[in-house]
Amino acid sequence: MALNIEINFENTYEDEIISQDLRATSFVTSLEDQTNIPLHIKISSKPHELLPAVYNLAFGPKRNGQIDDSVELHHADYSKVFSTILFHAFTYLTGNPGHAVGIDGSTNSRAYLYYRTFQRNYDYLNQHFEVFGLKYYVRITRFGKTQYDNPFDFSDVIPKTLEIRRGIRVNPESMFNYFIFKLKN
Amino acid sequence: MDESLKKKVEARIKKAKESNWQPENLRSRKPDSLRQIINTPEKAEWFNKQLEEAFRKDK
Repeated sequence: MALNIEINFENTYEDEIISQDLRATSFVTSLEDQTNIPLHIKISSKPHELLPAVYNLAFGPKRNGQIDDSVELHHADYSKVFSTILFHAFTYLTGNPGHAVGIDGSTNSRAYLYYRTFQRNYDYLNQHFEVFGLKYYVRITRFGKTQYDNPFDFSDVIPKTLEIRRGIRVNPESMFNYFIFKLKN
Repeated sequence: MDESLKKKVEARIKKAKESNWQPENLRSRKPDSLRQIINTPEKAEWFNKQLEEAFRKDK
């Protein structure tokens, strides 16, 4: 997977189609093997259950009526793909003041790629967004009757966000799970 | 925001407003970061350490 991604909102794929509420769009991306594939972007209509005003943005090809955000594609131009996705987030946020958009790092390696991309493009992204990383903390309860009882209280979760600033190093093993974008005031 | 970017954003918002397209019932996975906490060996190891620590303190 490419790591030297350059975000530039002037270097984006043209969308094929876009919904009236800006929540859905698609564009055609070129892959390394010179085939083309439509990629879909969908922003949820309901906010994140733990984060008011944060709407999840998913992207990927369509499979069985669902956006498949776990498939690994070998894009011919990663910079253009990620610029297109973030430009769509930027457009959505411009049209929906007060909202924030969240992107799930679906695996540790993908979350790490996103984090490196934010750091590499800090100056550019910082002109347009405030970017936050999110970690979830789950309370450990007292032990139950046996040591085999689940000690983690998943109903008591603290979503802790940290603003991503230039140069902050994060151990890949404790990488953020989720990234949140707000429009810069 | 510079002028060309502003125009590009406005053009997309205008295109959306004029769009009659209703996306089909395209589903997307809900963020499941909570599950991810324990679905990697590194995170499982971290959890186990927390567990051992809690067990030691509880003794």
